[in-house]
Amino acid sequence: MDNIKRTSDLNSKILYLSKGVFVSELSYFSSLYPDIAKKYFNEVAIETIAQGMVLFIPNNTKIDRFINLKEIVENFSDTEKRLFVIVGSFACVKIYNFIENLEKFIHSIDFFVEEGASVSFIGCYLDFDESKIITHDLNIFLIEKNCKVDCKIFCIVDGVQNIVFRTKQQHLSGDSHSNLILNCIAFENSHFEYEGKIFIDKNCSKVEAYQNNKNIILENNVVVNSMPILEILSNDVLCKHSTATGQIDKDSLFYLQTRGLSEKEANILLLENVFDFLINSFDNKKIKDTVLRRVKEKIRKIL
Amino acid sequence: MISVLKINNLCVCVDKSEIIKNLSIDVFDGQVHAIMGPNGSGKSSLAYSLMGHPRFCVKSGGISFFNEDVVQLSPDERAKRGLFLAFQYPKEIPGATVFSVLKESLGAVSGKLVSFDGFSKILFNKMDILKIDHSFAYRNLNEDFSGGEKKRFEILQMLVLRPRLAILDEIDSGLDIDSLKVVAKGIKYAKKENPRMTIIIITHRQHILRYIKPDFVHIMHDGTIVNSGNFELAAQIEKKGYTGFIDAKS
Amino acid sequence: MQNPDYVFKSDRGLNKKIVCEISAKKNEPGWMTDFRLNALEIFESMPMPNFGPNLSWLNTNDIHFYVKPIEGLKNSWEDVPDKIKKTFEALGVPQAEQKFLAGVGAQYESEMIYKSLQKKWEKEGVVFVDSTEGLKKYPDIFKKYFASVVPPNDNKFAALNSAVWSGGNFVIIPKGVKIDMPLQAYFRIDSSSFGQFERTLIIVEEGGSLEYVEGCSAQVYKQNSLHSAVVEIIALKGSKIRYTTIQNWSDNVCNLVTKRALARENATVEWIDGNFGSKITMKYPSIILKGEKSKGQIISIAVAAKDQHQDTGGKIIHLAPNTSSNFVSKSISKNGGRSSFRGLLKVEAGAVNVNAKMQCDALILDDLSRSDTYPKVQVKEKNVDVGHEASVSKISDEQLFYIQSRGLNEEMARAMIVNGFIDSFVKEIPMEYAVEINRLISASMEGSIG
Repeated sequence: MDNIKRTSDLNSKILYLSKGVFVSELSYFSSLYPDIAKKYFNEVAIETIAQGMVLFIPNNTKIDRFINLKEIVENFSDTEKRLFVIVGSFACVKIYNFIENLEKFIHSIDFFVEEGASVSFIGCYLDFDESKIITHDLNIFLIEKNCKVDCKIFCIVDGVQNIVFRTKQQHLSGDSHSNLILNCIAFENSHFEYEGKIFIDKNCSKVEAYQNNKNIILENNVVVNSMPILEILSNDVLCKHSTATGQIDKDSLFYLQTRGLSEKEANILLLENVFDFLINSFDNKKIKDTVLRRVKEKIRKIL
Repeated sequence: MISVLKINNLCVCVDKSEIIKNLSIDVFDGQVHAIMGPNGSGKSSLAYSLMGHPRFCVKSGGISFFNEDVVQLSPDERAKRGLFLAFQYPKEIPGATVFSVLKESLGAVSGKLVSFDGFSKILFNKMDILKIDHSFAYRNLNEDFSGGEKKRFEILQMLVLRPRLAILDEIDSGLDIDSLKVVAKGIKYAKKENPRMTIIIITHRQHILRYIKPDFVHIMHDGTIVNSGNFELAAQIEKKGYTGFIDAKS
Repeated sequence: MQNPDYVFKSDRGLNKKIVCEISAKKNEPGWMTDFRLNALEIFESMPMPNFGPNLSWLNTNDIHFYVKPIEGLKNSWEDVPDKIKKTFEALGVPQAEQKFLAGVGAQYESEMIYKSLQKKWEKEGVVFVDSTEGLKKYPDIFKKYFASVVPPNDNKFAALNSAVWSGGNFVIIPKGVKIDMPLQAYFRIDSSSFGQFERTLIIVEEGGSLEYVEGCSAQVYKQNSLHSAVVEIIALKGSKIRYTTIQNWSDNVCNLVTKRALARENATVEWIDGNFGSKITMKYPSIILKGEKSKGQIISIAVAAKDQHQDTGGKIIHLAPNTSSNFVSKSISKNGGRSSFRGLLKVEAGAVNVNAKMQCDALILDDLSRSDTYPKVQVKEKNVDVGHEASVSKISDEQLFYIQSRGLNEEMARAMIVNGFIDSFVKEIPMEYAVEINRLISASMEGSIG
């Protein structure tokens, strides 16, 4: 991320990253590119979505490094944001969102993915001290064919928050592929709700869409609700989802203990499994260490 | 000599890439042909094309089975004419038992109604030859079968359906010595019961050929046959590998 | 069996007068009349459900809410649609049965079977009577359990049923009695098959066991378009009940049913639910696992063909520790049909050591059809193992090719795969039904039946 060049406009309305990629306020974006704006946002939307921002990746652009959403949002004014990511045709982008507090929290991210494009998104939402009901929306529109989206999301929910997480994988053309994994570790008194929808439109053949959710409850007095939804209007598709809620598998714990690990060590090892899938996608050591450290801290608190 | 299979300058495409390129071969009744070649040479694609898999499109050339052009025929029409494919990766059919699938198949292929008792006799008799426990008859076809078991069941189907031409796609892969012997025994039994049965064995190692000796051996590479010979050819491949034979042609 | 004293049909529409008439005709005690009137008020005040198929076209003013059973049997064979007659032919239903199923025959051979069974059961203390008779002859036990599992305010159509219910069965299986053959609901001529608003109450006492079968696979032609039944089951300690429904109403029917069972300690409740017919079905058989170590199972299938919307599923609620449940649903959508699965798996606080699995697989056979899955998993307890999986796909090309390569043509191969797909349901139903269901699927794959 450090290698991405950036220059910012005088009023912080637009931030240029490398290779033609930029972030700007939605209203400013629609004045610069009215045609593109019309395609994705109708006029009413622009007025009401005053807090909207656009991350624009032009056609055929390949970004190798992860783009850190938190860092780019820093450059904009201090309110809760809604982000629209426009991924041009045959572009390739990796984005991550690492949240430790509610400062400049992006509560909704929409991806518009064009033909042949490929998007990787990693979301890491660690718990923070504010007690609120937090809603987070992630909408992925696979607009044209041959596009591919891969999302990995990990949440820690602790007593003081209620988190409502909603995702949508909307396939509007054929030959597209989406995969979403969302795992959560819930500590005492927390409330976690996940609603995940996969929608496949008519005449979208050869679509593959997957969604997997795993929730580990570590302490008492926790509420976990999950609602994975499928709405499928085409038949030549393959679509699967799953959700599992419970505690750490006792048989696995026992097995590790018979191999010499203490109960605590075994628990931590198995919990790491819950977010390994995500950590391994990061090529950023600092992030990996932060997540690992935070989770271990929390676990040590109870074990 | 009756022509069982005649392939003329066959070109086949899958998803717009050419997978069989100008392939020709003549197979006559009672013969055993081995088609060998490294992975990716197109051997299994040839098997699928012969059986009529919808994804494989014949671009040009012909396939004749007993002098009848079969390119336009569906897989079941080809099966009814006596063509059989033992799959490399047999599909699981949940909810459909070995007994019910085979009874229906036999009825369809032979064109005759088979009674429950009559079929039971046939099935158990063949299961005994392949040392398969009778209880397997009531299990769902291929569901939770090991790789070796699946291969044995392909041969079981062959014994029940008694085809005129059997294409065995990598029947030896994934089998231990004992299973291989049982499978080979099954194939020999079928040949003994019907000496006119024609067999095409597709394999990339020559181990099974020690049990079922081929009359002709062909080497496939990059979608076409690059070398043909008799059993000696197989022994040479064992010694020298494929590269010698492929380079010689290209 | 009821002996009708005279033929009666209420006027169209629904109001207090009609509800009172129904109650009067049945000579019901005051509390039941009050119950009905209260339910009527609830029905009128509740809105239509805000989910599922569109029901706005339902006009309660156009329906006869009470028809004496014999009246319903007076259709003439000529009036029965050809489509229905063809179905009977294809499924090999015997002539006499055909007339009965079409609502034409007034007598049915099973009446003889029914009479002899009744003698046997009476000896054991088994009660299997029409609901109205149950209320009359067993007033205390009836009142104790009636509406205890499905109260009138549960949903709008439970309220409707509570106001105008008629017919249905009242069953008591006494302590320790195990019924070794399935109780078929259609032995009773004048009940379920033709009722619109049956109310069934089944009580299985401690250690008792019952298998109850309702419906049939041949299409039943119903004149009345709204079918809104309520089934309540109370499974006491250590009892076991399996309730199988095979629904294949004609395609003018709107089937809105509330079925719920309460399982006490160590009891086992199973709903085996097959939905093949009707234009719209909204049905979510439920199990409340109230007693420790109780078990619940739901196996449900839905086939939605042209112009059909099957909105089905179920609910399993774990209230007690050491309970387990298994919920399997299979659905098939074809020719533009729509199949929606709605499932709820709930574990309340205190329900520790719960093991619950929910699985939903859907097959969409063509591009005109639609499949939805709306599961909800709500967990309030950490010491549990709860999971749900779903998949939607078409018949795999590879499987088709494999079976075709064994000589079966495409239609037969599809039928084999589809029958295999619903095998987990077919395995659980009595043999005669299983054979009929398989034939039904094969025939519909050939396109001769929709």
